[in-house]
Amino acid sequence: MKEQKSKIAIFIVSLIILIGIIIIATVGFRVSLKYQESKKIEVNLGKKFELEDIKKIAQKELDSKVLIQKVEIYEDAVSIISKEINEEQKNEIINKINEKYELKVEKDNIKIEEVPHARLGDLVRPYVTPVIVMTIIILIYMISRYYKLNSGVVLAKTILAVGIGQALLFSILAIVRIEIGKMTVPIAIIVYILSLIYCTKMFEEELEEIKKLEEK
Amino acid sequence: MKEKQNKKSWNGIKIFTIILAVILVSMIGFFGIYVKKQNRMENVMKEYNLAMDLKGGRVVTVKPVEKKEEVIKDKEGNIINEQLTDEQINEKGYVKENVDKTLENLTNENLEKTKKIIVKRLKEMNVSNYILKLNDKTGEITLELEEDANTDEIISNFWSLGKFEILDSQTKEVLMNNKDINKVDVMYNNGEAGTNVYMDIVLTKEGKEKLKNISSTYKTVKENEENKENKAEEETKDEQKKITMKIDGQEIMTTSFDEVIEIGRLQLSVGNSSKSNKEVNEYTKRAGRMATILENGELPFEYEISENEFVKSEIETKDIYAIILVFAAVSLVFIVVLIVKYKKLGALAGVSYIGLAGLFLIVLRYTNVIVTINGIFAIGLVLLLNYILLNELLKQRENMDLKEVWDSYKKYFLTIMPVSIMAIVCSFINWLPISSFGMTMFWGIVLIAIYNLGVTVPLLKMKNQK
Repeated sequence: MKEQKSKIAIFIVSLIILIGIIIIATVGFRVSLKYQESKKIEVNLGKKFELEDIKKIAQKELDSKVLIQKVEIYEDAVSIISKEINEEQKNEIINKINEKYELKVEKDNIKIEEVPHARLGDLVRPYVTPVIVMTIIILIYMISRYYKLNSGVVLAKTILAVGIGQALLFSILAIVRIEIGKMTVPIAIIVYILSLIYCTKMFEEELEEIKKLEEK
Repeated sequence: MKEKQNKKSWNGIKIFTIILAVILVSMIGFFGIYVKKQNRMENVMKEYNLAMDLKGGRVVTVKPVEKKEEVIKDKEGNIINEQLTDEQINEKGYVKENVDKTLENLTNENLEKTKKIIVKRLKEMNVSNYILKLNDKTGEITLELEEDANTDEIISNFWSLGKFEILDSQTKEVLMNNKDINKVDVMYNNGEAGTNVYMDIVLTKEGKEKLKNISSTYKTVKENEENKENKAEEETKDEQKKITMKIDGQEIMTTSFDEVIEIGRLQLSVGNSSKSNKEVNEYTKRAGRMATILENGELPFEYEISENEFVKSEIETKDIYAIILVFAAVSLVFIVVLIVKYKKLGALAGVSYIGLAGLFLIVLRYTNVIVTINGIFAIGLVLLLNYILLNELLKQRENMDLKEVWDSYKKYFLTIMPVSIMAIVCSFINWLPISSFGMTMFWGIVLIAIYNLGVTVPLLKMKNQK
């Protein structure tokens, strides 16, 4: 029964990873607007405002997702970023902001700026060396601590657990179309840590059993 | 019998006191301490040190300077490389056009080179958290970085052209440039007049040879008595060949060499000799900036700032509250599980769990840990690790004696050893999102070890004795 359950689990995990790989290879990840190539307008309202109000106005006028941020320390200017903003949409947004806050912001003074994309590779790069260093140190620890369990097996199981954990996470992100953004890296680190804890817990139990057998 | 009764009630008082103290610490940790200051309530606790992904950061955009050049084109739009008069142009049906040379140089190779140089400069300027975006079509660079005391300095330097040249002062022939530089160090020299800060430019093998030849050709002409008699002063001046050193087109010095330099090093003094620490520090900073720029080569384009503003984080307070709410909900589940599994002892462990969360928030405020999104997730992980230890302690709840506690701790720390290794390694990485995660985890694990030994274990022990 237990064996059958694990077979089903392995099948499901493999299927998710396979679908994930296909989606990543064909469609790719869904990247957060912050890292995409996009258009931006900045409106200086000259007085305090509510982000929610601007968000509602922008969302109504723009077809795609919007990113609204306050600009400058006085928080009296706003930046509106979206995948695409055309002149008509810009004018309409400014009209509505003027209306809402009783302002006279000139449409001609506001330009649609291009925001370049950030490469996912560049975002991941700072993590590569630390993760490699960490993994090597951890693997050395695992091999030396659990040498009684066969170092090769320990090494393989740890790498497999960490690898499957990450593959599963990124496959789920790709399948469910969750945005790759600021939360992705910490979630990946958490999964990495949980995989390691799972491994050590399993190895500690096995080691305990060996010790008990040795004592007998 | 009476003694036993006394001990029981004494233990009850102690448990009650510890619970009160834990509640107090939790309240302080979660909400702070508010006192009335100038008719308004103010939190006197130290604020969290938030990173740019939570509080916002400086966004700077630099764009390549337009370099218009007049070119002659034929009817098909091909550039004609001939010197022609206006009449000849008209005769042949050619046209004059203003072409932006920068746009022409906007190749992938140049853009990659630009990015590499800027990344190197940022690394050497110790910028530990940034997002760099490069516009392939316009060559514009957008840099998002932390807002702190060094931000303006970094902004004024990262896009500098970094062009180093040694020219013949008269013919303007370029004798040496960036390609001849291997590395640049900042050095000090203590003399009677004070400390002298200078840049030590170490040249490449080729550069070393060039400098040897230049210093021989541009050697200072010494006037001896015979010369003085035979040559007029003007003649000597004409004979003296000099070099001009330029950085980013700005003349640094025009000089000749007293002797032939064979060691392949050039030393450039920055500022004057000074005994004031403040001045020396300022010169060192300036020299460091110049060294960083020169060492990493010349940018393919000359840039100018087009935007420089502070932009608040897109993560709003409500998003952070949502994360906190998730942590609170998960923690509540942990506490309920503890209560269901271990009844009254579980409830006490639950109170202790809340206390650790509160105390951890205080520790984060006062240990100057810079909180990033990764750091927030590390807080969640610390709470999970604490739950694992509480479970381990409660499993060994018979006597809570030293041996049992030691066994629980040993088992626990062996299980989380890779996490501890990770926390330590991450703490030393010079990339803020990682170091923030590492520091948060490090303090969390230290706190888990000390707090549970000092609060949870005595609490459970007292309850057991009761």
